[in-house]
Amino acid sequence: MGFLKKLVISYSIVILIFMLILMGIAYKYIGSVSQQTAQINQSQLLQKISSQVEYYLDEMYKMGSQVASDTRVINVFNDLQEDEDQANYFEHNIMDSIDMGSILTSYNAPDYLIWRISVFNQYGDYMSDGIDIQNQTSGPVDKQLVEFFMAELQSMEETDESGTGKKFLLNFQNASDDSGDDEYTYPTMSMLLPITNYYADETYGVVEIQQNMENFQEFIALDQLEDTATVYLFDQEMNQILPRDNDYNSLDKNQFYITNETVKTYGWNLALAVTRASMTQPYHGIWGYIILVSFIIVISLILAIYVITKRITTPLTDLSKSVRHITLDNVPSELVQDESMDEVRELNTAFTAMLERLTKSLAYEKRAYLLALQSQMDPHFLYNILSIISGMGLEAGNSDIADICGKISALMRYNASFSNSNVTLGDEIEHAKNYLELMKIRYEDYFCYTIHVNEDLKQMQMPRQVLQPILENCFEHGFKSVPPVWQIEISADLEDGRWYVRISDNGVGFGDMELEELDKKVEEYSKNLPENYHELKIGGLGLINTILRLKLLLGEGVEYQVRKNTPRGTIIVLREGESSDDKDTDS
Amino acid sequence: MFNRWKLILVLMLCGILFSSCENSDSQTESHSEEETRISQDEMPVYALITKEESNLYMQKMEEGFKKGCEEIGVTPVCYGPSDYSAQAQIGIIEKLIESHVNVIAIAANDADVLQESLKRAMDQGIVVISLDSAVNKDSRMLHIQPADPEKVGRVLIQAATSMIGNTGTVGIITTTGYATNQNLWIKWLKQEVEDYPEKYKDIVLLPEVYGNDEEEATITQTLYLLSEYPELDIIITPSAVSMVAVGNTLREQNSDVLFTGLGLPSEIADFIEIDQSCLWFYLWNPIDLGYLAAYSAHALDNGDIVGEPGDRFTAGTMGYRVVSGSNDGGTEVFLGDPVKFDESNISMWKTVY
Repeated sequence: MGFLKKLVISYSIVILIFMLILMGIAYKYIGSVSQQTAQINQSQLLQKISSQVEYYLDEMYKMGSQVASDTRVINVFNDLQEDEDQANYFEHNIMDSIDMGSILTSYNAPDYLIWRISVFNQYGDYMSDGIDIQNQTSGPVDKQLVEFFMAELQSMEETDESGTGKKFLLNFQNASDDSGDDEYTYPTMSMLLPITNYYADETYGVVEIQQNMENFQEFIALDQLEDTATVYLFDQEMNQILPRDNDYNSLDKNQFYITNETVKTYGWNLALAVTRASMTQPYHGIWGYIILVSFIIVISLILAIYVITKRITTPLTDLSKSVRHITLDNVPSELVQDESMDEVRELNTAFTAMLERLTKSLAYEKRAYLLALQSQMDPHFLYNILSIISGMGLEAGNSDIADICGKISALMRYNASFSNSNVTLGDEIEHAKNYLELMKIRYEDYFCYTIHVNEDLKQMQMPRQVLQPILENCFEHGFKSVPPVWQIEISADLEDGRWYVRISDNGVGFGDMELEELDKKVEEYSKNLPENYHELKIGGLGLINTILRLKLLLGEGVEYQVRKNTPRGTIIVLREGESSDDKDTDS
Repeated sequence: MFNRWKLILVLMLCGILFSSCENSDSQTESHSEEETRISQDEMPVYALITKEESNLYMQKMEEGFKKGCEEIGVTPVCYGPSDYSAQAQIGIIEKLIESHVNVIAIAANDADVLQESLKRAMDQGIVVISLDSAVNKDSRMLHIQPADPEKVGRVLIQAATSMIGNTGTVGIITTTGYATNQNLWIKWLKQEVEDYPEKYKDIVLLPEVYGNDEEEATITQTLYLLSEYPELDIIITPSAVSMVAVGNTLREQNSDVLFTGLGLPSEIADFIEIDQSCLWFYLWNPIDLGYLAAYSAHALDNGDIVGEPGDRFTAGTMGYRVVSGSNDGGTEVFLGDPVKFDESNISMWKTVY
């Protein structure tokens, strides 16, 4: 799979997962908010309906109280207690009938908010006003029922069981004409109040405030509810009043969210059942919108990622192709042409710089190889000459000449050997000893040296010609301006478990400025070794050369120290570095 | 485009028709060509003919009729003659027949004179009903009876005698000799006295006199009774116009004579609250009467009922009503018992009608 495809698919998956998580959170949040909002709305709706029910019942009670406390009504029904004839008094007494009808009408007029107002007693005396189901004076007076009402109301007067201070009974029945035709049958709700003489504590009759249930439902706006919501109304004993065609007990409670409220004054209970599905219905449109927008965003992002990724990966792919086609014979000066992006330009620059360094390194390697070959050619002549001189010295009986020639020859062979760039400390000490012996021959008693080497360190690997440049410095610079006897002391040993090689002389020594200069140069040449390579030839900056070559071999595994000797001269210490020690310890 | 012109035409017609309800000066003369096309309008037109255009009682009846028509969804048109003339009502009927209205509801100034015109209307498929004051049974399909005439007649004499302590002289000022409803009420009033001679043994019932439902004539008759019968204790007058005229005359004469009858609370309130020359009186709600007439006519127009005894229908907010047989052999629907207006309720009722 290509780089481009991998990136696009990876980013797309990340974006999709992110969007899914985001939508999941949004779904939970909106679901929670919608449910809370719906619950608040339902609670408010139910409180409103409860207030309307209370107001409606209050109005009924108020009307009933007014009629029941009207002295004309009380007086008529008081008188009627004397008349135990079961015939309706009002049917045969026109003026009293009209009087009573006018009282009832006048209470209800002009708005006629009450469907029907009736007054009656246990002796069949009956009068009503309002919607005409039956004749005004031939009401449905059931003697036993009226006696039951009156007994109940009388009992309520004594015990005041309602606890509200309001004495009434509620009765639900269908009011209809004699035919029983459904078209003219009206479900009604009646509030019954006693017609009482408070002083005599007697109930003379009953006032019935009757309302059509349809009117009641319209008033509390049940017919305006959504199809998904149903309000159930119960009386104090939890008998269902509304709706009449939908039993609350048969409701599947899992499918509905139910809110309850109590009509305080009358103790009625309301339950609002709303289908759970409908609670989130208003948010379906929002969800559709969110999903559509999310889909558009995801598609747009994927397209954008594709375009951007393609733009980024094309130069990288080109770079990769270019690098793949590089050979030692064909190193291009520039890998890619497109440098529109900083990162690609940096990469291109880095690769190009690396290639340049690689090219230069190859050139140095070639030159060094040629020099090595050249240096292997010339010494053969010198060795032969030295061998002749040695032979001539032996023939002349001077073994010192042969000894000198041998040392020079060994010295030259050591210097010219390219078979192995690394040697042991023992080799290096031996080489230093040859050199110092030659110098001793030259300066005789003006010079002396001592070498002390721990035998355990003689097999330690180190670069070739570490000591000779330092020793040469002693003769070239250190001893020039000081009187003999010149001394050089070489020691190699262990200290605190770390090796060290110390070369001390009694020459002129380094000044403070020179020591600082030396440190700076080591640091400077360490940073940019290839460019200063030509200055580090042997005999040039010999000490620096030695330090740098040690660093090249051992890295931070070597430390150097150049300090003044006492009373004069220089002490140079090459020591195994602490980091090296740590590494060894770690390993 | 056609619908737009049709809408404009209907609006123009409705404007003309409603203005005729507001201002009935143009009643018989001003039926224009547009009005003759009212029955072609998609919305049925129900016409009400009152006894007389300036009669407040009749105007309240119009109010109820219009309310009922609006609820039903038909166009109401209301006309009334400038006097209590049956002939003027015939002219209006003829014009309405030409206009092909759907319903004619009439408060008749004469029970029989209108028969020919009303029968012709019924022959042409127009529903004809009477209200308040009936036409004879052959001239109508149904009568809307404001109250049981027997109850009205009997309660009037019972109330009058009750006011004067069952002893004294009672005078009657009625409208005309051919006013259907008044005649019926007075018939039952007299029947009450005949039925209970012992109860009315101390009551002298004077012969009725006629005020023709006109203010001047009623005043004249009142003054006649006052002068002719100084022992007069109370006057019964079963007419809204007469009630006001009698009350004003008694006030002007500083008479102690009481009066009662059938009147409008808004017109009689002062005589109860201030003069106390009327202790109470009776009337049904004329608004409800007009409202019931509209629904009754609608039930006939729709074919829900045919006007036979036992027919049932629902009259809007007034609920269930039953057609019953009437004393003249026809059929009728009752509005209900009259309401008694006295000092306990007059202040409320005078604001209603």
